[in-house]
Amino acid sequence: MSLSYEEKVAEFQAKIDAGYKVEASDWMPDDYRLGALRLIQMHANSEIMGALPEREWVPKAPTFRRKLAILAKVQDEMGHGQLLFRVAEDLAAPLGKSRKEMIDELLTGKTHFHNVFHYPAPTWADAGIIAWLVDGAAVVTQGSLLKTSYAPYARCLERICAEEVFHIQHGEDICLTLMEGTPAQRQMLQEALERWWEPLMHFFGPKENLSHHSNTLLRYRIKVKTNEELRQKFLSKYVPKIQALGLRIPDPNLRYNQETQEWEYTEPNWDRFFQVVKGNGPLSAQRLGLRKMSYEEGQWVRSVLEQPLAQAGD
Amino acid sequence: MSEQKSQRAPEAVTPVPPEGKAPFYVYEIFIQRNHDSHHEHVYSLLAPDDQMALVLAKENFLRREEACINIWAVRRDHVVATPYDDPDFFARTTDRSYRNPAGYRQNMYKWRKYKIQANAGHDEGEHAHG
Repeated sequence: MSLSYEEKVAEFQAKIDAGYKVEASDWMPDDYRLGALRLIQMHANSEIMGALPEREWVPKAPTFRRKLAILAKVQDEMGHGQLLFRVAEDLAAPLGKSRKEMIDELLTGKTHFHNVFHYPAPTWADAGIIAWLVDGAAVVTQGSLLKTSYAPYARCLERICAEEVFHIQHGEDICLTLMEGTPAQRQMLQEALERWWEPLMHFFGPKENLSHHSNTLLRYRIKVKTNEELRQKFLSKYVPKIQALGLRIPDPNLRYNQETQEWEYTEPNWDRFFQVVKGNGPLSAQRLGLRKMSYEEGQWVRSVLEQPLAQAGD
Repeated sequence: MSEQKSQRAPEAVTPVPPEGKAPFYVYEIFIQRNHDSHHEHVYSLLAPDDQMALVLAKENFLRREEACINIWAVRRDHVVATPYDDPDFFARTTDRSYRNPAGYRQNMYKWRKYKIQANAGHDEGEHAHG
């Protein structure tokens, strides 16, 4: 006796509710596959695009040790992209979609990447804020995703999160050093924080009822925390640290409400967020251009690798 | 071989190569950190051949490992595996507690009893000679 599609979905949902983890080879509803793929592809895109603002600072890092550290971080982000595209590939294979197509979807703007990577990083302090707070925000999200129902993603995130801990330390080191520096250096860090505050508030996305994709993700436990829960967690973790450093957060309404046990803040401009993630951010076109150039310049490497070789054992 | 899909590793799909090009294969990567450890599966990658799989494994998975003495790269379509959706394969039909130390918990209570008896006997002996 074979089950109807709806019955199979209901059975699948019951397994998810009971805490079952999904493997790539398992049967899954179409909207599970598409939802997980969309999330993971966006994450993979973001790792690769996220390396670009920091890459700009590799030649200009103030000391050799810092140059090596930021270079290592850029390399890690590209490595995370590799891992995540592997996870995405296994999800996309039954849809007949290859890695090549996913790269094309990024380059043509069909798929998106995180809002924070559409902005310029004009000073070394921006490199510090990115590594400390943008990566800090990413770890809040990715840490919650360790409990995702999609097991291959969870396993991949374990490695990614471990490496992100180094990134945050690297970012804290830059910010602490600047704060202990000259008034001009402290001012540079303050200005960088002001530039990044709204993108950071945007980072977790709008509260769920504004976004029709997230509900599927939450129902199937692909995502386990809502956008607002993650934003609250980020604020609890980082606002005290930012204030302890003596930096001013550019939101006069930001305060912790003891009664509701929640942070109150000025609602960021969500129209701007949607414009940015759709590819109309300050540097969206330039960054995609850079990615495209780098992809084309790397074509010779892929061409060499694609030459048929005698395979040992075949 | 390909018809025995359930015998293959999960999602063993060999990527289709572009026209006239060599295919890229999914390789499962295992690293051994020292001689006291088994190889541990760390993840998979795409590579055109065995040699590149090892080179890319080092780039992808050993950027900051303190120690590693060996890498295995195994083409995923060469891995045989049980299916996830066949719980019967792992089902236990009989009690197997006799195979495990935990199946012998009663020994502990018996030893405790004998110990108490032995101690009591020892105490009596001391009194007798005191």
